[in-house]
Amino acid sequence: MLQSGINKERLTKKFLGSKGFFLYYLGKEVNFFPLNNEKEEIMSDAAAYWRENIRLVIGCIIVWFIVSYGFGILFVHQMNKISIAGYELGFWFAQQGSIYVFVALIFFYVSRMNKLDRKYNVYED
Amino acid sequence: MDLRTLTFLVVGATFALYIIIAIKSRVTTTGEFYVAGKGVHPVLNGMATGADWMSAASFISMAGLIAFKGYDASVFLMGWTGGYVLLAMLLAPYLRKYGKYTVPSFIGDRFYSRTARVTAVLCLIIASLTYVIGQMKGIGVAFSRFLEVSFEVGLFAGMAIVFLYAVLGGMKGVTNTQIAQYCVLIFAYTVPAIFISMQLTGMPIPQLGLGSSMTDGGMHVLDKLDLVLTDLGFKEYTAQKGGTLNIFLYTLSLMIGTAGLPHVIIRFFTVPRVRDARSSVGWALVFIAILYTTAPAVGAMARLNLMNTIQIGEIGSPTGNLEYAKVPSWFKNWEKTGLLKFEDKNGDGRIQYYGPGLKDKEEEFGWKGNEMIKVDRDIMVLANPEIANLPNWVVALVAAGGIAAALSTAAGLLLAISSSISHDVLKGIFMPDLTDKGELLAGRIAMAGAICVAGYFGLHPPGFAAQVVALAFGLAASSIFPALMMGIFSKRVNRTGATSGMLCGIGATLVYIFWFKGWFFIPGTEMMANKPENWFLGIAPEAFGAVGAAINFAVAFTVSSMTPAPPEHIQHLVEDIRVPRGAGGAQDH
Repeated sequence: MLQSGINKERLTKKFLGSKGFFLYYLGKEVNFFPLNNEKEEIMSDAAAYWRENIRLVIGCIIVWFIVSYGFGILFVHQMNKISIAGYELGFWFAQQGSIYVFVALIFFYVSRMNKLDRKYNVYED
Repeated sequence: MDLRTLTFLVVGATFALYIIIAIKSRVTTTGEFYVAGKGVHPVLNGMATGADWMSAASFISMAGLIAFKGYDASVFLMGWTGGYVLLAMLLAPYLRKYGKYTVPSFIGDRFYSRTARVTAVLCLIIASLTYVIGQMKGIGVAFSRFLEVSFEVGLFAGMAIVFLYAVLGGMKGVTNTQIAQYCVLIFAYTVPAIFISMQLTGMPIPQLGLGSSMTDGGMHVLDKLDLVLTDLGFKEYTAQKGGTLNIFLYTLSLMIGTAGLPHVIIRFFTVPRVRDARSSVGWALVFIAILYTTAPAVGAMARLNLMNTIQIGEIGSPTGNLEYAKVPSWFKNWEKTGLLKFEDKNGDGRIQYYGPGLKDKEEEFGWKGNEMIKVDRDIMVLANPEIANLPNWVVALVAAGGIAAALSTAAGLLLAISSSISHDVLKGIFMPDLTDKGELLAGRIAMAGAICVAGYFGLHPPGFAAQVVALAFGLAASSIFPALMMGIFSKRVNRTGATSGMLCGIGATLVYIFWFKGWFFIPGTEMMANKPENWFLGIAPEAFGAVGAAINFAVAFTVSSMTPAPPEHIQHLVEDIRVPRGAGGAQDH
């Protein structure tokens, strides 16, 4: 995309000469010859948007993993040594807590993604 | 009014409600509800998804399994909720952006291959059919109890009603009916739980009641249950009994299977925007979580009540056990279905119900073995309000809720199966010039066939309802989820990779399941007894879906790296679905 833009400029210069090229630039300022660089910006923005999205998702998945597989399964014995309000903690995470965290996690993700959509101007009206 | 009449009345009234709503909203449906670009509000869509999702497995079967397995049944609780996190973050928004079609058509387009599409359809049919078998077990249990007939007769009655319900059709697709079904279902589930929690602990909220202390004696409910069970020679309720690897993979299978089940995924095509798809998944989980956080209380308290009903006095004393002549009416009624069986082994006219831990005391007590020779786990939720002596209207309500849950999901799945066969397979591949009328007829025939197949296996189910449904999730996990995920998150995975991945994933899972459950679930054809000692690394057939998914990913990446990358327009398609803006109108499903 970038390459073709440079070529276009070089070609324009070649055909119009230095004076003509000045006019060409003027024309670009007033969008006389729309050069269509927009698409290029969208592409790189899309990549940055995707990167931030992936980072957020990985963060959420780590929490998802810790509350269910961590507290509820792998470390359930250690967690069960702690008792709160009539529940052994590991048992509570396996049968109650992880579900509450899942719900909270999705809504956290939704609100962060809405912010991200606005930041990258891809928010739908 | 006797219980039977009351049950018929309540079940009849709820069905009348669904039908009235279906007819009423159909008018507005064509007019405005589903107009492209408008779609269903995410909260309502979430509620409808909840009704669609919670089937006989969640409603009838799950709390029963929790009651008897205790901590080990957490796999169902975490597995069937945690999948929504994956769905919200990894699939729903992107598939909504792509919009327009069904899950197999996304796979067919993304992997630019008709073979990939057919493979996806095949995987869907296998998973959905297994799912329906699980529902049939639940339906059989519910109908046998309320018609007071044997399980087999109840199952046939249920099959006929499912067929009518699904053929009358359309009702399933109407979001308003599903919202009504959700309300009936959740009311029917939580009301008895609140009553029982009040009885035992004085705490009306079951989620907190499970952690509260008992009104008699002041012990915490779970401590008391652990004590009662260990005294009777059973294993501790809150302790882990199965292997950690198995529990881990079981949960994982259910989670990724949830995210790969097409009848759930397509619900998120009906919301107006990509961001609504995200929040709608959240709302669906809220409505599901209400039932799922209540279920552990239902399970634990039902078990406690059951034990206390039978063991009325001191263990080992001559009058410590309930006399068979004095059993409550629910006991006799469930005996009629054949799902509860008692045999007076020592001839004392009393019921001894105990676990292997009391084996060495048998002689001292004059006991000759556990006399409750069959307690089908799937009866617990339905029997629960009766065991707790709740009023008859509550018992009838639970019946209505259970039947609503089972029927709505079974009918939905049957519609999905029949439309896959008639639309994707017959019209899409073999008979492209099939008329609409012919397609409809083929769909009906396919549906009748699917009901008969599911009914046959429902007679000899390869497990309790929730376990059979878990098998279906494992099959979806090993085939659809990896294909969808790679389709969105990788530009490199190509048609050959995806197709071979799906085939290897579901193939390996199917073989493993059939190895222990019998080929095509036919009893007696299993290669090895379905016991933990025989399982590969202690992995249950229900938990193997996660391994199948890993095989799917590995095969897909390896094959893709050895074959040409997807064409450029496919790579653009992938870039396009990753950005929300510009999603097309909502789809009517």
